[in-house]
Amino acid sequence: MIRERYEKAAEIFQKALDEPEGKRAGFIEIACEGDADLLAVVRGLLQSDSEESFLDGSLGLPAPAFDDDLDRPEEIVSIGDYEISKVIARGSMGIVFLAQQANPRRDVALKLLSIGEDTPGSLLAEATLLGRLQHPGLARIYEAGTAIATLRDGATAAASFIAMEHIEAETLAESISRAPMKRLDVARLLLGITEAIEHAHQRGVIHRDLKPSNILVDADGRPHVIDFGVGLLRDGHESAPGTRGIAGTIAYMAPEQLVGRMDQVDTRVDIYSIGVIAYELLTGNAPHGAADSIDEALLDRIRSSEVDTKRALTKSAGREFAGVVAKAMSRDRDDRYASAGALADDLRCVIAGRPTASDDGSAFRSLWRYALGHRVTASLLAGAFALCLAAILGLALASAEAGRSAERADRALESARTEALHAERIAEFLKAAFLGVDPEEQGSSVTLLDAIDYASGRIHRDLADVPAVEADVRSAIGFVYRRQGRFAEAFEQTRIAHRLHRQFHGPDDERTKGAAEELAYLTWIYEGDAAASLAGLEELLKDPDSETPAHVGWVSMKAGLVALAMDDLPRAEAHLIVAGPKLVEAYGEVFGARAMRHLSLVRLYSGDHSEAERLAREAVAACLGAAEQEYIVARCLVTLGQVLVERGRYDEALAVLGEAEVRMTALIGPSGPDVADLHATIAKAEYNAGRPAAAVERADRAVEILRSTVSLSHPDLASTEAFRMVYAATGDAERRDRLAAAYRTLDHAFGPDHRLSIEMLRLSLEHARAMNEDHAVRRLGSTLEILNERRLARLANGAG
Amino acid sequence: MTTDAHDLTLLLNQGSAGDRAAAERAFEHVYAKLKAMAGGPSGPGRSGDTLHPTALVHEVYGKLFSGSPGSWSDRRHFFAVAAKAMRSIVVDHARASLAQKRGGGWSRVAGIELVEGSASGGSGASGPGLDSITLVMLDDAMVELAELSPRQARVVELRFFAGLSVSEVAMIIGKSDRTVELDWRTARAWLRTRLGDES
Repeated sequence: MIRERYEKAAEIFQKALDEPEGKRAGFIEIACEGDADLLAVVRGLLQSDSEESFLDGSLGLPAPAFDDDLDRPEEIVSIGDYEISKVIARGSMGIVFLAQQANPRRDVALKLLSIGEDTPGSLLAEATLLGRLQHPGLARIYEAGTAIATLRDGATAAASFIAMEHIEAETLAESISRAPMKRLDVARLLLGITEAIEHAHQRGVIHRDLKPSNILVDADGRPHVIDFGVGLLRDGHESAPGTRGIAGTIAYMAPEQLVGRMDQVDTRVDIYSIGVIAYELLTGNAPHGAADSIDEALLDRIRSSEVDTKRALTKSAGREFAGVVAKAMSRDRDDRYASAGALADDLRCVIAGRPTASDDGSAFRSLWRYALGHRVTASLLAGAFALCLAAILGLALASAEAGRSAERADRALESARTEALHAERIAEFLKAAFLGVDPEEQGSSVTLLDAIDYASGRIHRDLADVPAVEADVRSAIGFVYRRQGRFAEAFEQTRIAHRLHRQFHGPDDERTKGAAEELAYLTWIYEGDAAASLAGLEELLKDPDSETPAHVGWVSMKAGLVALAMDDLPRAEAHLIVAGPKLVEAYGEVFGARAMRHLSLVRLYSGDHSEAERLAREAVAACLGAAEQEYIVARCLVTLGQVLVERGRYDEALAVLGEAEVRMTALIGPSGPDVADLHATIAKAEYNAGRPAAAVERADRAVEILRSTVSLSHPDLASTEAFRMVYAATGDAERRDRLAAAYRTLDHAFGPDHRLSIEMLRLSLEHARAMNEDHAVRRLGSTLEILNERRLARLANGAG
Repeated sequence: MTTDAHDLTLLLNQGSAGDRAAAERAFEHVYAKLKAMAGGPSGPGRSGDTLHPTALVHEVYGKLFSGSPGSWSDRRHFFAVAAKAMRSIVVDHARASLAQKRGGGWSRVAGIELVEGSASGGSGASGPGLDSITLVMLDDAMVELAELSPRQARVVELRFFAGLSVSEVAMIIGKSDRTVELDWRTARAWLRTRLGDES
């Protein structure tokens, strides 16, 4: 029907309604003027109008019977006032959407708790409680309730939901898997989490499901705990523990929670979970192994095994921090921190380098059970401790000297008194430290490194009132730690020493500068930040006041080494050329070998292999046979080995490296970062000599050592692991995949035109050639060409 | 006036002034509100399995504009949108339940047989209950009606789906009571014929 006809029919119909009923039939016949179709339409309308009260009367429509079992959450387009944009996350608890709330207009994270099921009324009461939590470390809960969810096809169902603050961030689970974190960053992050949890505990709310995927880390590295109390809401309404929703979170649950002792679940379950998260952040692994599902073996481990947390953590976290984590994740809740506040206090101590409550005197004895297997030879230990003593006393004497030369006698006297007092305090402190490791009490396995550990734990307590002494002692201990390859502890001690020196003596004092130098060097060797490290060292070289040959020599040496690691060869060379003569000037001819060794590597990576070999051999010869230079001989041999590997003389290289290994392990034992370097070089030689199994074994040892010495984000660790991965590949397809992955790792750690990245690319190209993968060969070949050119241009620019 | 109501008023005004996005948002908002309130087994506007649009729409209005009677234009815009929203809710639900019952392959002919079979017993105390099929057919016919006479279609929407009185409808569409009454009777008669034609 067309519109005009309808309007015409409607007009006639309406006019007819004004006529008395009996006259309507006649009226419409006239009005339709012989148009039979129109007449039929109007007649139909009149007929319908009189028939029944269609659509009229008190309207009752069938009420939508809301559909049950609409378990299709992906298809939800709206829930109540919330318009769904997209799915942000899927967890064991359900799906989380990004949604727009109409009023007030804002983005929210909407967590769907259930759909098509009745929601217990207690949920709303719980939500009210949760809504009261307001802390920057907690995602706000705006609303919890039930509303109608509309699905894409128009179906509807009742849905229970929680609307939370939407935070643009990735979860901690994601960031763990992407890059390991530095020790202090871990401590700061944990402190943020713990403070948020403390806020909630004070308001009577327990999280119960703390885990990395429930913690968001924003762009500034600040944590935001999400799903707060969801565990409570869920557990409150689920019939039994161990059912749906627990899988995946089990690794973070306290033992009493796992065995279903709900009556024992209190705030301390969250403290346990924080401990587990800390463990994972520090080691890269969950303490009870991977736990994606409930598995009886895992349950047993958590419930019953005595995980030696402190031992496992000490290397990566330092003793204090390890103690805090171990206490937090004690199996028995009475051994844990009594409150989140107490844990937060200790984390603050870790960050500030102060002793923690977890490390009280009574804990000392138990420390020996966890004492590290850092059993080094007696002579070296004695040397280390003598060095420590000498450093401490030497520094004290130096300042006493400064006091004597002061212009005014009374000031000199005052100064001398202070120094005498300081010397006395140092003596007292050392006595206490020695007595603390009396083998008669602690057993014969006590090492002097244990004594240093013990001493470092007491520093703050014993010396806090004399910051100048505290700074000296920490400087000395930091140095010893570094020489022992205990980089984490070295970094921590040196950092505090530097701060105290600076506060007490000012930025231009020799002691402050000495600590700054150590700190800058550790920034590379421990933290792996080469650029920052080099900048710090070069800053020190600019200082006109400290031009003693020894100082310039050592700082230039370190700067050269860091530049070498960055593949900035011209810069490395410039520093090393300065370092060599200065060290010779300060210490004699034999010290020239140290700089020569690194210069050899500069030549090697510049492509001048024969000059590299000449320098390496010269370095070995220079120190061989010299008194007290055994260790540097071993290191020069490693360098020669590296050169020989590059030159393709693998058997010769392995012989030299074997000699280096014998000397090195005799001197410093089987671990230490230099030994890692040795193993990595041997691994490369073995691999190239066609013995991948031997290569993997060596690479494993290198990785193991690095893992316990350097920060987990250190590029050296990344590259060693990348090469290990390639060596361990079995089968061509796997090798190809691993080469690609290793290249990505190196590219990420060092940049695409770093020599290691290019080396990996070259290995990939060789593999593609061997496989006759023409396309890959072309692609890799051209990439390699470009990167090689870029690297050469970079090196040329640096030189000019 | 609550911020909720304030925002809604703005959207409604913008919508009626031709801002399509605002109109859609207003619609979504009212739709969601009506739907949520129709949800509970004993929610307002609902007794047992019967929905009373009049009660529901007024309830939602009261809720959205709580504390203030709202301006004349608020009421006008709101009910216009609410009527559309109620129609969507009821008809969408009817379509969904048909799709569910017959896996979407429901044939129109078979449907009408069912209407006739159940129509006699369909009128209970709560008035002429319409089953899903009738509602769906009615909705289709409304689409045709909107082409033939947009105003009559609006009148049906307001009268039938929002349950408004003739005077309320007159206020909303800005016509006299008599015009609305005549539109209503005409549209109703035509729809009845249209639905009858198909059977």
